[in-house]
Amino acid sequence: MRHIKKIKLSAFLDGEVSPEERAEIVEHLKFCPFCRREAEELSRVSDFLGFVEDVEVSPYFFVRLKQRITREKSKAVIRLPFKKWARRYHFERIVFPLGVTACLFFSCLIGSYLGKTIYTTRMEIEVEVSDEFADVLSMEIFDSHPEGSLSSAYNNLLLGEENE
Amino acid sequence: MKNSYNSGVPDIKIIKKVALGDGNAFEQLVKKYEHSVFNTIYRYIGDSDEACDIAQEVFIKVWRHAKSFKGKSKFTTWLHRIVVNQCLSYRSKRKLRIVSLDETMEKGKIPESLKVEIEFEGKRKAEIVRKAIDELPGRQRIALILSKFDNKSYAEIAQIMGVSLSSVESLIFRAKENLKKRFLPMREKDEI
Repeated sequence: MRHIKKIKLSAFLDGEVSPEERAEIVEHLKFCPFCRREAEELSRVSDFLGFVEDVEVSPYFFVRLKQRITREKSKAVIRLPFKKWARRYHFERIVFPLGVTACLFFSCLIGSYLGKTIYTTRMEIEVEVSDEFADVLSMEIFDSHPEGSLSSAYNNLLLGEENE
Repeated sequence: MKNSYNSGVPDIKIIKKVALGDGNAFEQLVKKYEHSVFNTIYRYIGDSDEACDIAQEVFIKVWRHAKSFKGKSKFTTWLHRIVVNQCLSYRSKRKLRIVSLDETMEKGKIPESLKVEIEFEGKRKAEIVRKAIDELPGRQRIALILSKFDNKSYAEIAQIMGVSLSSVESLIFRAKENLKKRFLPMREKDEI
């Protein structure tokens, strides 16, 4: 006698065979203790599965779900305009770190250039100011004082001392 | 599909409203299928907190992609396809710490924490069966869960999982065979 394939027996027990196959298997099982034992074994597995009962869902399931959707929606508002683009170019993993690095590099470059320019300008201004200051404080300023004035006397005194 | 909330309104009508952003319709849909979705995931994952998170992700996907449901298949098939994808991707993303059945069944066999929880013989057996299901390969497990707990036909399971009918037949048969091998020594020791 040819036995029924186990896979067919399994489908038979799940009610997943055609009426013809079903009739054939039922008939076979009447006379084949081997296949009957196989069928019983498989059927017992299904019985064991019956031990696992349903678990009740938390009564707050929908409330939490709603909160999560609201939370994700608010995040999505910020991300939405470039979401697809971000996904395509692996924004978080590649573009963002590259962008930050580039920003830092250019910041250093601009900072260095600006620092140099500001320093040069400041130095030029300082030289100009010091020249003007020297002009203002130089002794030539006393040359044109009127005769007999205190400044002229002081000037003569100094020049006289120098001449001597 | 078992549900605790059945308004009598066809799913296709509800999902169309959901696609238009109707929050009440969405609530109706969630209430109708939360039990079934949660239990399918729970049986697959084996952890109620994780199952709750994944069930939420499933419904978020339903909310976001309601527009893409064209009604070519039954809504429950579409919903279960999302469930299966979430379960399978969860499994691949995260290696679960599974307490093996042998570990569980060795001397002192049920962990202390479990001993407290397991008050009745039925619960002890349920835990053993659940762990045995946990140890099945992912696709066998999901096919078995859909067939035995969600009462899906092989044809529906094939549609949900995107495989052929014979593959479903084979997956379920192999799952049963694996469980049979698992249960046999326990039955001899009268543990189950």
